[in-house]
Amino acid sequence: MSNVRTFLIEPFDIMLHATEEGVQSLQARFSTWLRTLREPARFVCWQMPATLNDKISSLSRKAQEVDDAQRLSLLMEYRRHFESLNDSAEYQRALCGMAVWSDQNPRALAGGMASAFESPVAEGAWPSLFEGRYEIRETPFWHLAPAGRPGGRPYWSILTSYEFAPATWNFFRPLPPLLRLNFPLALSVDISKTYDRNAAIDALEGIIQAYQVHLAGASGEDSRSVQRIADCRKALQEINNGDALHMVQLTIAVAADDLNTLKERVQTVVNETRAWFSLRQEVGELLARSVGFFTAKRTKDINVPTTTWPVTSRELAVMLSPLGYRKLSATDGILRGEAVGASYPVFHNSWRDKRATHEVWVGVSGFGKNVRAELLSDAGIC
Amino acid sequence: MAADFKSHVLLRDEKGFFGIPFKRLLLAGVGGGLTYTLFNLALPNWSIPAGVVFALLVLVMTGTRGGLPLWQRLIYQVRGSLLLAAARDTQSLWGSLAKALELPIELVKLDAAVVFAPAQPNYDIDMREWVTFARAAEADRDDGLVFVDAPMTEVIRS
Repeated sequence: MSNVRTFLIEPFDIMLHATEEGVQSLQARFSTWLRTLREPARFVCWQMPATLNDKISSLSRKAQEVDDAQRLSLLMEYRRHFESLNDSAEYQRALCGMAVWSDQNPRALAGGMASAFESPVAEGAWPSLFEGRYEIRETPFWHLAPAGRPGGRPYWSILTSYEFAPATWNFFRPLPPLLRLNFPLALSVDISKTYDRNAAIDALEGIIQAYQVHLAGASGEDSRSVQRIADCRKALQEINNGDALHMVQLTIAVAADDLNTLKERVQTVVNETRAWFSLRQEVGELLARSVGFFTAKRTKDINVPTTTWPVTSRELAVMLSPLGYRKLSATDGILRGEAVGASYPVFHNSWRDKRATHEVWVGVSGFGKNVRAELLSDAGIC
Repeated sequence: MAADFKSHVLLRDEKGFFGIPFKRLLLAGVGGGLTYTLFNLALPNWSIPAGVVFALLVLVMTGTRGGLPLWQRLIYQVRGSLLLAAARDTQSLWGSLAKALELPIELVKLDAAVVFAPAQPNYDIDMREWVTFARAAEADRDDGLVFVDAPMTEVIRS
């Protein structure tokens, strides 16, 4: 049995690839990596509340240590700026992870993912969905509640996909709007099985044959069977072009500070995704078991009823779209600007590994290169 | 670029009647027929109503809600309620019943430290994976510095 390896992936800003060629290339790279899967894998995206408090406290600490009056005044200005940013927004921190059951060297796996996703990938422990002890509760609806003192811990509800509608998916819908809802949630894409190419072709050809026999004996119109045969043939074509056939299930964990808000958020998520896939709210022991989708536990050990859906690699590639939605990342370094796709400050530490840093800034005259360079120098001095 | 999602290409779901898939009708028919046959041996007067009622019951219970058949969803609801009642008082009737049915009472309370324990005990760099060369030419002769689990036999002898 293969060992599980967990990896952390830094999300990137998909708006930097937001051209027809850009997203085509992304989908091609993602699906090329997915085609190589032989064992189960799981992709998870966590979106948790975050603040700029660490940055503000670090500036305050520095201000207490500084003697130079000009530097002190700059530090206080930056602190005020970050405080105003913090007050005017509800930031979320996004982090993605991939679990792969494989006997391969973890560094080689991380390298493969880094080149496919063009984002830093490192082997590491996944963050917890929640902290402390939780218990399942039945009223007013099934949910997970913090046991003992809540201490600001939220309530959780878990939704599992069971049916995918014939709809068009891309890197911008339907998953990214969920992340834009801007409340704490986690999304898991469980790839419980990847068919061997020949086995997938055999299975699909068997289904086509069965439907053809059914249609030969049917007297009336059966449009669903006709459509099923067309879908099987399309899937066969994609598999013959190199794709793999994966069994996939989506699980979404939604959090809120009170039960009314939780119910409202669950409804919002269900309605937002209804045109693409249906979600059921887990009950009883299934609620406790489905938490396992946010850990590196094997699907069969999680032991929830299977409601997976078969998708080809090119379809599964767009399910990894949360990778392209960076939120508040690390607050280490200097504020460089705002993420293109979302109103999130982007920090970058140019001197992180003590190497000389070179940057090339390109822009027409009057674009503000010199002013920006001076501002960055000020921030760097601070 | 986009992906057009398809229907469940590995599932057979032939058309039946009144919007009910053929396989559910078949199961209900077989169930009803079997009930009719069994009742016909013991209670012949009740065989037809029993067969019809059982066929209808199978038809309703196999209807899916949330991707699960109704019977399975109801079982999970009842098991969940029983679990909570048993967790509240393990010595009660419900507690004994849950124990007799071997229900996983431990699932009522989740400890994040256990549930989200890292998959690997430590994520330190395994130095045995690295080979260090003082000069690039050494890479051709495979005589770089390597980290080993334990002292080599030759070293112990000397």
